[in-house]
Amino acid sequence: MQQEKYAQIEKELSPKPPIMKNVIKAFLIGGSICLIGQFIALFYITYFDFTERTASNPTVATMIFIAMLLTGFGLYKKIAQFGGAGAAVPITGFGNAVVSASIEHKSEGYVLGVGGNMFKLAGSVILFGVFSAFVVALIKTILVKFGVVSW
Amino acid sequence: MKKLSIILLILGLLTGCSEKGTYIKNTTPYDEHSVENVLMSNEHVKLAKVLLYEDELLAGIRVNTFSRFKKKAIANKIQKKLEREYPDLKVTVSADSKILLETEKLINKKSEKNYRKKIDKIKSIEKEQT
Repeated sequence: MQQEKYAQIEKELSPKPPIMKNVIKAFLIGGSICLIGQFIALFYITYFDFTERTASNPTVATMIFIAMLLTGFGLYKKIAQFGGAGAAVPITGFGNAVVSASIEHKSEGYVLGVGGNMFKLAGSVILFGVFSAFVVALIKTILVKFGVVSW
Repeated sequence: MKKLSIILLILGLLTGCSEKGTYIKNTTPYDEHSVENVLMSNEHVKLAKVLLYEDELLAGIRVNTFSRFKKKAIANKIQKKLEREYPDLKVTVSADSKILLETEKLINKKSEKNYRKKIDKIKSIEKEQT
């Protein structure tokens, strides 16, 4: 009874999150990050021997490198505060999670501090990313076997 | 100044995508009209640059924006059609913008000196998977 009452009071008192505003902000920030990524991909396609398919790897690496620099200089958290999910969902958010965790635990030493805590936040991304990729590949393999779609 | 730069940016972005049609450079005795027919008969193709050189037929195509999801299938279909039309030529068709870009560079080149080398290079990067 007490718990329900608390939940009700908490619901009444806490301010309503501005969902629409947050969604628009996330759209703008996430879209801008992806636009920058698209420009980097075009740069690799135009000036190096990468095709649209192969350009994605160096593009991802470059985006993570930029996010790493921004995290180190303390600028990425400002972007993330404004953009919310728009800054967390692209690959730059993953880079930010890895780098900020390793900066935080640097004082505990390089092996047990940085090495042990680097994937504290990003570990779940890797785990569920690999798992969902496995599930999707399994479904696609089955569909290809039955001739519903082709590779 | 700021307004002007925004207007210029928008104009640049809009005009960047307006190139259309089929451009063919033929250095062989083969007839290139059926290439044009095959490419123009496909409603998904927006822009195509084709180069015929010795025993090679290199075609870079750009598909309409919403057909991009199946651009590989479109390119394969066109490749099969062209292979039927030109059984003596080695046909390479790709919807990748890199192939389009490189084919365009080759077409605009004045001398045909390095064509063989460049075509082999384009074909090898087209095959790369990762």
